[in-house]
Amino acid sequence: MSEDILKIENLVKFFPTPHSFLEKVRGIEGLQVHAVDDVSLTIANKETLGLVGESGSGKTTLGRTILMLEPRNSGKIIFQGVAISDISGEELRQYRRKMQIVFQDPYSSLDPRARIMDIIAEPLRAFGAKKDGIEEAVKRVADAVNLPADSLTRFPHEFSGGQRQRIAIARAIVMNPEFIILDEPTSALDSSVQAQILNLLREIQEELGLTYLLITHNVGVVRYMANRIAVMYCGKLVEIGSTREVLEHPFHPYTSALITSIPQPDPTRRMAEATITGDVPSTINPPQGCRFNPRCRYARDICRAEEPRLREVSAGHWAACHFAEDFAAEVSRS
Amino acid sequence: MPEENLLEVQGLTVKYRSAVKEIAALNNVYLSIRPAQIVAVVGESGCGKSTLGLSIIRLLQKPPAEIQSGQILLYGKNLLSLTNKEMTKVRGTSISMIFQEPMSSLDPVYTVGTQIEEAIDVREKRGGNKNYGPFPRNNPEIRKGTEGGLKRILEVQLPHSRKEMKYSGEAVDVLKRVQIADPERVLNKYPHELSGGMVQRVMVAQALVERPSILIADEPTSAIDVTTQAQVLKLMRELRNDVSSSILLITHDLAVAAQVAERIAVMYAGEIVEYADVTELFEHPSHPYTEGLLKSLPRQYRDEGRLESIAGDVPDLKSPPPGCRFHPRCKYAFERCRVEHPELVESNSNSKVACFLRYQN
Repeated sequence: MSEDILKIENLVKFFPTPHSFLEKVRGIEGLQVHAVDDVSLTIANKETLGLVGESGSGKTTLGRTILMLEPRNSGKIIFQGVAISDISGEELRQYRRKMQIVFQDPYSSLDPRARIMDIIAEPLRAFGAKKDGIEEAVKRVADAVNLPADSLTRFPHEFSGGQRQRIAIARAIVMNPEFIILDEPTSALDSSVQAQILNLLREIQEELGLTYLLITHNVGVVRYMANRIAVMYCGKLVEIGSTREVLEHPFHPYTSALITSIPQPDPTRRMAEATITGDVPSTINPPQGCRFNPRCRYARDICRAEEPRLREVSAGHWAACHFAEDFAAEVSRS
Repeated sequence: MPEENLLEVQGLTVKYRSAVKEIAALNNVYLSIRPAQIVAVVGESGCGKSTLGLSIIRLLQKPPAEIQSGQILLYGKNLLSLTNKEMTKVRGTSISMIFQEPMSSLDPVYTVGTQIEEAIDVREKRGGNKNYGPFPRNNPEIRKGTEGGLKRILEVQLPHSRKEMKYSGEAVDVLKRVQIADPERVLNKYPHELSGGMVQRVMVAQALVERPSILIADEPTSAIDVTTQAQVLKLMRELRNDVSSSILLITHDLAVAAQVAERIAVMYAGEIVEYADVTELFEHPSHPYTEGLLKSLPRQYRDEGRLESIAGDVPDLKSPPPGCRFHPRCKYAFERCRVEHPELVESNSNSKVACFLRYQN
């Protein structure tokens, strides 16, 4: 792909666990949560990349680290050909305006004491826009997200969850960004409202030519929204490819288990057996070898000893499994 | 219906009242559940589904809640007329409940084992179904988990010398049943040492031990991940099959309901708008709201066309719209819907719907 808007190389983010004073004095090393462990991926211009995984898999941390909201331990973040992980100050600030985020919880992401107009205008003011320009821009985006005309002078508590998420989206697009991270944008919403917001996000994307990184645990939502899907497990990227390929012909046993454990809204297609047992392992002390091996039905000796690298198994479809080909063959046989 | 109903909710109306406002949380709700049946109550947030569950087990906080009319019959006996003492006997033996937040539903200062033992004790003391079910109690002598006092406090403070307790065979068996590996070790753990999915399985284990006639499960899987959700849903089906408990599953997720329920009640703004068999409901939804909900579930790929959505927002129950409560969002609404309120009536032998479109004449 020639037109990559974003490229991440070997990104690592560890969080230190709480460390007592006594331990520090005695020189005991604190433990580290391996939230994002050596992740590389690219996002093409104007595409939607869906990032799926269970809670604790590191998907939100990856998003926050890409925006440099969290300092990284190592690795590179290249946005539009510029390594933004290596610049700082005013130079970095100019790139920040091109990258925005919409958070999961619209009840806590809007300042309860600010009027909607001020909430949407805040990023403009931060970048020193002219006063008359601000009002015009706010009205334009409020209109784009279908907010009622009288809402600009009101406060967040007067709005429902769906309307608040519209406000958060308006705030994200007011700077004319090129890249938006959507962190579980509809998981706090009811299903009838979720569909409205998903449609709105797709309309805005087409209109403004945006690139999305959509973080979600809801496979129905990524299927509808994403061109490509990346699957995370325990801080590692385990599979990435086109949406259809990944969902219909997964190469990684975890992806496959994740897909089959999703309940279908269809009483004639009930899950026969739970395909995966056990719990997500601790990211403080992740398992040796492949991180999925303790829960994997196909695990062999090499899986316990050697960590599989992410490799291109078929064109444009990458997976981190020693036996990706065998697994795919077995699935298609059964 | 000729068959005996285990639980019947008749004309239940519940309001939340404060000095300044009154919210009609439940309005004239009828619901019946047969023995060993799994019924799902589906609806969006604020539609009254949790209020319904709490009303049945009588854990509504009064005030602000107030039951204005209606009956809740369990084996033909009205639960609303029982004294608090009598109701305490019903809870845990006839009716149990699992809550959404697994972490806050277990007591943090007792071990998992102690709490499972407590459920066993409650069942025995209240004379629940003693010789029923697959768990023989072997050797209650070795059970020391309920010892309290100073000894327990000391053990909590000295985690490295924490003494392993022996728990009864039933407690071990039941944890094995809910697929917890190494149950002896888990019984000696405190709730905060377990993951959310594990705690939710412990909650199901408690319900298995209690063998209630009816289990009310309020969003049992919303706080846990999909791979664990699949395991918990499977356990719910087993609970019904093995102990023949009825289950009232309260959920906002139609897919979860489709996976386990036999009948589904769809709630909207404090009312049941449709009650039907699960396949019937998914194949031929009668109420426009059910139809809209089903269509708004994303099932297609990005390139396969757009998703239909229901316009507008859930109404404010302080002042619900007149007539049918769904009419402002309904694309089929006509004059009658705006003025008259549709009652829940039988649309065919097995399903009920509250919509003028489906009324015969």
